[in-house]
Amino acid sequence: MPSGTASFPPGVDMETILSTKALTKKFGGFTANDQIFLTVHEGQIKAIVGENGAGKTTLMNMLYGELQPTSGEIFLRGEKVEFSSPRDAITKGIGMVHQHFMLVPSMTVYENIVLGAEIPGEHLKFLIDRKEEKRRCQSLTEKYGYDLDLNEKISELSIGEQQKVEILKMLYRDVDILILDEPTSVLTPQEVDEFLKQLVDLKAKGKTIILISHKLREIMGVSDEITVIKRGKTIGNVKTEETSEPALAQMMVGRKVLLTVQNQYKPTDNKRVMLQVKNLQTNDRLGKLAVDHVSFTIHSGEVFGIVGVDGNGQTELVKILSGMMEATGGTVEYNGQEITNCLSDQLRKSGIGIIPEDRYGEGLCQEMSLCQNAIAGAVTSKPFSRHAVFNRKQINEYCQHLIDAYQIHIADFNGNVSQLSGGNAQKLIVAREMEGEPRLLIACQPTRGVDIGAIEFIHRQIIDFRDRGGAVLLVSSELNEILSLSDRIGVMYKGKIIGEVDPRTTTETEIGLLMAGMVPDLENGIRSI
Amino acid sequence: MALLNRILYDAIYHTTPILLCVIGGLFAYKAGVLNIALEGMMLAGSFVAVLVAVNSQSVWLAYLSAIAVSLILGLVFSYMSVNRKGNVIIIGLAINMIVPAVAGFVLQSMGVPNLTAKWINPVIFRVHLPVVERIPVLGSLLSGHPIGTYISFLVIFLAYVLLYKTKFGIYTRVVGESPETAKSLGIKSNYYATLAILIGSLLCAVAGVNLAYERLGIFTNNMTAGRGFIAIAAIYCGKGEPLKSSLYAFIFGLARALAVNLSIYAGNVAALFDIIPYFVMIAILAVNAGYSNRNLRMRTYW
Ligand SMILES: Nc1ncnc2c1ncn2[C@@H]1O[C@H](COP(=O)(O)OP(=O)(O)O)[C@@H](O)[C@H]1O
Ligand SMILES: [Mg+2]
Repeated sequence: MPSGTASFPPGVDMETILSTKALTKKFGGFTANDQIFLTVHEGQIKAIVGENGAGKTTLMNMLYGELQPTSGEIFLRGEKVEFSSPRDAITKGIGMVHQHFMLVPSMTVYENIVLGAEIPGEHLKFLIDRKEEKRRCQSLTEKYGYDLDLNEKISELSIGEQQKVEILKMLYRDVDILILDEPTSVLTPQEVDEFLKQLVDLKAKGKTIILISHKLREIMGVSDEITVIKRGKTIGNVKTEETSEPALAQMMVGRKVLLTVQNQYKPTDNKRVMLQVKNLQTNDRLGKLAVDHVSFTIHSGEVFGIVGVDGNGQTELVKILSGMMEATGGTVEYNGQEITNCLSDQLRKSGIGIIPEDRYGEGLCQEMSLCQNAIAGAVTSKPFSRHAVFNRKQINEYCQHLIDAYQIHIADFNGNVSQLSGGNAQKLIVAREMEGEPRLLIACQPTRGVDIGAIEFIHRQIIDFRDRGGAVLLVSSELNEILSLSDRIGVMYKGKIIGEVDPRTTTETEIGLLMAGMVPDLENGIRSI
Repeated sequence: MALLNRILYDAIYHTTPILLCVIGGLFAYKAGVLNIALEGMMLAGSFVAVLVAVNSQSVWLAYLSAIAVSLILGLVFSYMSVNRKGNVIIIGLAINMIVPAVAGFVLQSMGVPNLTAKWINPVIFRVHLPVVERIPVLGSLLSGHPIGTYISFLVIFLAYVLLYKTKFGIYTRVVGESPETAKSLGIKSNYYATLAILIGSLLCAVAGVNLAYERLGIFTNNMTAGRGFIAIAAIYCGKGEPLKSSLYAFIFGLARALAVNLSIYAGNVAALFDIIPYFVMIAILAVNAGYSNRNLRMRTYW
């Protein structure tokens, strides 16, 4: 039963441009999309929401011809279509901007825009006509009001600009339907606003847009209709004006969730300095300062949040503090003791817990069992091994304890970590680090790519840890997360902490401006650095 | 002066086969395929050219059959690596080992230590450039090389145009640099990777022909002596860009010329000079690797 069409009262005149009927996609035995019924109306913005791993990208890849459905049908303007490659979809007027950009870094903006649709030269057909390509791209950027230097290389562009190139790439091919897979997850708040305006603009120019996101606020702002997907099934189809954020969240997770963690800011008396960072610096590959004279202090019972657009030195800062990278200058003191450039092993032993940014690169080994991962970092310590031999019973008991205490959903106790969903894998890391009873927790992007239910849990853990007197360095590009968890917030821009704000008094606008490098100046208003 | 002139002339002479391999190999490099079979393909070119020349006494048949055999090896390599997604190192190694083994077997069953096409006078391959020849110093440097040498320098320019000015080149680079992008636009990755490998086979054959047939009319087993690997090093040092990689090829050619010419004066330690090209290669690769990471203080745990 196509719930999509059913939820709209008859008589409302809306042209259906794209629809699916019982669309199903299986990967081996796993059903990523299960009988999806989707209806998209012409000239509207259709939002698709769902937790990570719900199957949104899979569904879009089928509409774009990148994956072929196991069963089910796709209809375009009432006509059944089958795409064997993205090329087919593009010819029929469907374009897609992927979650991970599909751009060639060493090539220029216009080369990327026309890629795959090059214009042959007038006389020498085998050479391409760069002049004509540039001219057409120029008129395209003018038509849609995009401000881009066509001759710049992609590697020189900001993420926001790269996204514009992606969209132009599709507009160049003159598509009617534009699919955008989680387009805003990499943008600053200001960039997001601009981006959402562009979407409304595109809609006004007659394009149909399918917008995938798990950021409910954005969806509520721009979309006309919303489809909720959960575990590969369509579970709801609503008009935006008839729903609300909490209602959507409940649909996505299947229970009531707290969208923001309950956080009482408790002033702890006689605070002790747990981490003191002074003038820390390190270089990037090109020799430029990636971390540029960063200084801050974290006390016990305090969450210090660092927020910034990805790529402004947060990654490097955390890598230095967790022993994965060396500082070229400055000092780090932990609990009164200098620990600059210590190895991560020494850091752990002295009581620092680390939740790394790259979950599978540095946090877990996917090809090893749950138990082995659970004791990683403590393999030589007493209960787990004696005389260089593992004590299986102790290890299994400990692992089971973590699974129970942290509500980690597993399929097979003896299986590998690769069986876990993103949220549960992250919970395993949190469990391991918390059980080590650290006094300082360094958490970098702790909820990236994690489902709403697990986010709620991890946030609770961090707040409880702080309330027990722990010190936390929280690095995240999610503004909401930083705002709701931190006691103090530092904003990073181009390797520097360019401002510190108080979460109780600041606004998203203020932080957003700082993230974009704009410092509020008391005399002259805003100044850009 | 005469010595310097000789060294430079030899540098060009020794650069030729490496340069051909470099230009051929950089297409596969740009397409994201590590083709370590350059050596084997070149040796196949040398062997088949001289073998056919000995038996047929036809200059062109020798040339064409060398190219054909090398292309077949290229097809085997691309089928196994691109289509069947096999391990390129293993496949490349297999080709590099099979070619000298087959050549050795043929030589043995013919009962000769090496193949000589006695009827060939290498002079017939020498090209004398009409006007250039008259220019005092430069003339003797640039004129009188085998055809392959001129082809090799011409090919640098062709490769540049092909890589940067045509659809084929752009797609090849996309396939190598960003395969997901290629897929998302419906660019046929396998097709471009295969073509790139075959260009390599073609030019490796020309290199092999130049090495054995055009210069001497003699084939001895393993006469390529690692030039295919030197070419790979040059490609990596030059990041696959035709001009830069060619420059590295020339540095290797120059080192070889130095080794050969200076050994005349060096008596017993002559053999030491032959180390120069390899030393240069290791030094360049090491400096290159160190240089690109010189700023980064990332820790690595082994
Ligand atoms: N190529 C694939 N092979 C196997 N499983 C896949 C593949 N692509 C996606 N999946 C699985 O399908 C599920 C849905 O993935 P995806 O569509 O990417 O989710 P979403 O975009 O909603 O986060 C996930 O559990 C994922 O692991
Ligand atoms: Mg997705």
